[in-house]
Amino acid sequence: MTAIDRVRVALVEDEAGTRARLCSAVAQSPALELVFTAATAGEIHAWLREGRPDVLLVDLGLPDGSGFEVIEWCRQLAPKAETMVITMFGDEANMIRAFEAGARGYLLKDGTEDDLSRHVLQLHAGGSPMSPIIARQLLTRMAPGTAAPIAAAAPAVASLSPRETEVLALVSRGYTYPELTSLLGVSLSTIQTHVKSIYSKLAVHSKTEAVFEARQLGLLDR
Amino acid sequence: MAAPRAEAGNAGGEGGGADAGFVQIDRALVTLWPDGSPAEAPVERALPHRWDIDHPHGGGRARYQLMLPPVRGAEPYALFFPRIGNQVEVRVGGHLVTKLGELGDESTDMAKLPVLMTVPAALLSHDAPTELQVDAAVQPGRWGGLSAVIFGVQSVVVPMYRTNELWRQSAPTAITWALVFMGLIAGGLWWQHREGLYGIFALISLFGVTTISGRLLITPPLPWPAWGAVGGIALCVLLLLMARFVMVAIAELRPWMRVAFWVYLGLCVCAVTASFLWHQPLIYTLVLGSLLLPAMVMMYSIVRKMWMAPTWESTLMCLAGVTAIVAGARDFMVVRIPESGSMSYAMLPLAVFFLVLAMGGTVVGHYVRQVAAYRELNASLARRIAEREAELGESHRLQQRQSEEQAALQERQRIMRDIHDGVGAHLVGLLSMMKKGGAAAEALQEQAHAALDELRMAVDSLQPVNGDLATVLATLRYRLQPRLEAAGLRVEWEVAALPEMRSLTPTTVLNVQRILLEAFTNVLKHAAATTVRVTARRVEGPDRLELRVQDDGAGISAEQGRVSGHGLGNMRARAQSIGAALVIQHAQPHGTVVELSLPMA
Repeated sequence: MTAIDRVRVALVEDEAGTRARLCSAVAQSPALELVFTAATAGEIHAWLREGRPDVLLVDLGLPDGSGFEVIEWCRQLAPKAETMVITMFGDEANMIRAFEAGARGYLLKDGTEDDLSRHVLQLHAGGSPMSPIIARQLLTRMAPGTAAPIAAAAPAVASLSPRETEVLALVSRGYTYPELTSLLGVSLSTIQTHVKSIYSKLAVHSKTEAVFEARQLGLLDR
Repeated sequence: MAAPRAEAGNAGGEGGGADAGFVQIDRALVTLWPDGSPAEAPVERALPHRWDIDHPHGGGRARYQLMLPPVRGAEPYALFFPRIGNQVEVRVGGHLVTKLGELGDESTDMAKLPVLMTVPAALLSHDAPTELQVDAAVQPGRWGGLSAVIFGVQSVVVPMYRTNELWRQSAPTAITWALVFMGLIAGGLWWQHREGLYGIFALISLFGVTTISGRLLITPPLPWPAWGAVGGIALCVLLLLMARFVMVAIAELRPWMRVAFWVYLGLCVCAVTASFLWHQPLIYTLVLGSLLLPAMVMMYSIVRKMWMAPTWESTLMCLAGVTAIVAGARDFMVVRIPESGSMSYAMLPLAVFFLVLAMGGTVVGHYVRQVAAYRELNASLARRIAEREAELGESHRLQQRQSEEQAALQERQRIMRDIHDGVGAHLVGLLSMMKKGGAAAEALQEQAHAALDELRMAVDSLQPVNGDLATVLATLRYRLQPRLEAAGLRVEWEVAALPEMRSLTPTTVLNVQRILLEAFTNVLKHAAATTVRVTARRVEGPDRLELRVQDDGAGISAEQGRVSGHGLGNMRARAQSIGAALVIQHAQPHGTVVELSLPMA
């Protein structure tokens, strides 16, 4: 595999130990190339203007919650890059915020960093993971009829299709993507497309909600 | 008998003369017969004549002989007597023209009101005076006698009569009805509120009506002099009540005033009664005069009040009081001085009733204020109730929040204990294995993994799952999937959409996870299975959720040595703690099935 084919990975993580482990996990994988390592949001912001990562690993635990800002910057400055958040175990609420900001994958800081290269490559190949708890939350937030009052009153541009709702429901009940292919009679890539679409809608959804709420509050002209 | 003489309106002055169409005859030949005495000699006297001045202590008969001047033209003539009484017979040229009451019958008192009578033209002469003879029966103290007499053409005399009648009859009648009306309202208010001011005003109205009707009724309801005493007492009581009203309404009724009021009232009643029964009008006059004292106290209070805190009520009452004083002074000048004319009428009674009306205004104002105060009170009560409700709601919410916090705290403590018992125990175990040394790396890794699993589960149990037990199962699978795959175990996953379980607390979640983890761990460690089948469904009957983990491994008998030990007991204890039924048995054809049944409620 040539250097050109390798997946370019950048990393921002403030905690030195984790950063070292992540760096070595990336370095060990022949398919990955570590192009930049940052300890702060400022460093990565400066680098993002020039650097062209394929995958950006962002620690959600950056001070002041600046991890979300980094995700936004990456979407603006390096739109082709996929963002993957590194987060604590059980931090699903922040993960949903990260997805809203534009992240498409996540990696848990729980000692399973060995799987890092697999996850990064999967994400790069178009596969976004989704935990049952996240699926459950998204169902509650986005599915038609179960949405919160404000979301229900908001324009339905971001509402899920029936198939997407089905995917979310099955994932929330513990079915894996391969199992979904046989249950729904579609290919794995279709499932992954659905999942990506759900994540995109989550971002749009959150924007719509924000716009709607802003209008409610009179912050925007109608 | 001396020749009676007619003077053409000389006392009335300017209006006199035959050309004016009338004459006022104010001289008469008067003959008096006091009861029980012989007739006195006829004397020519000036009119008006009041019997009481000559004979204050007894009644009698009087004859007045006047000369009517010759008439002109064909216009009908009329006689107008501003005062005539108490019962009279009127003769013109010797012919009886009118009889007002039966002479000596006390039930009629013509002196109350002006009298008008037309004179038949046949009785009058064009060239000689005609004699007018008035025979009167008089009771003492009743203003009997004769005023100056107006004689003239009807077109002139009738309007004069009407004016007099308006002031002496129509206005008092109107005032009477006004008083009755106001008295009823004040009485009703008193009945409802039992407030002194209303009661006093109701009494003022009552006595006012009595007093005023005493001046109006030609045929009183009581015989004379009882009726006279009633009228006198009513007037005294009225004046005292008015003074009291003023003190209550706009000043302060001091204790000595209360005492003085009752003493004065008693004295007045006694004195007036005595005055009328024993025909001693002087006593009555003295009593009335002494009432100047409360009247002055009243007036002083009104003026002082208006001076210090002018309100429209005190201003009105002050005005009415001043009016009464002016009217009284005028009456004294005009009416009581006998020579000052006979067509006049007393203004004081009207002024007094004006004062009473002003008091009525005060009562209305008081009532309006009271109603406003009640409204304000109601509003403030409603406000306070609302505030109280809000406070109660707030404290209820606070209590609820506290109990929720308490529950959350207890939940947290349970979880912490669990983390300590689970993660802690595994870590301690790991530590002791490392201290002893010699443990295989694999064993250490397994111990570390177990600690990590414990930690994950503890965290997962706190995740929001919206009462969906399927998500709990799913999360467990999500965590275990890499290890299940690594062990080469095929997972058959059949988790139906489960109904929301409102009672799904983190504790329940944690215990379910632990039981299932134990089941999975047993499969991984001991069963030597190739497939693990997980099902979750809702079971009707007693509504419950049924979770099953079934493997196709060696089966429970082979595992018994391990499973029946610590792990199995733990699973049972956990199931019991969340009210679930746990069944672990041999599966067909081989393997083990763990079945957990949770009540929905």
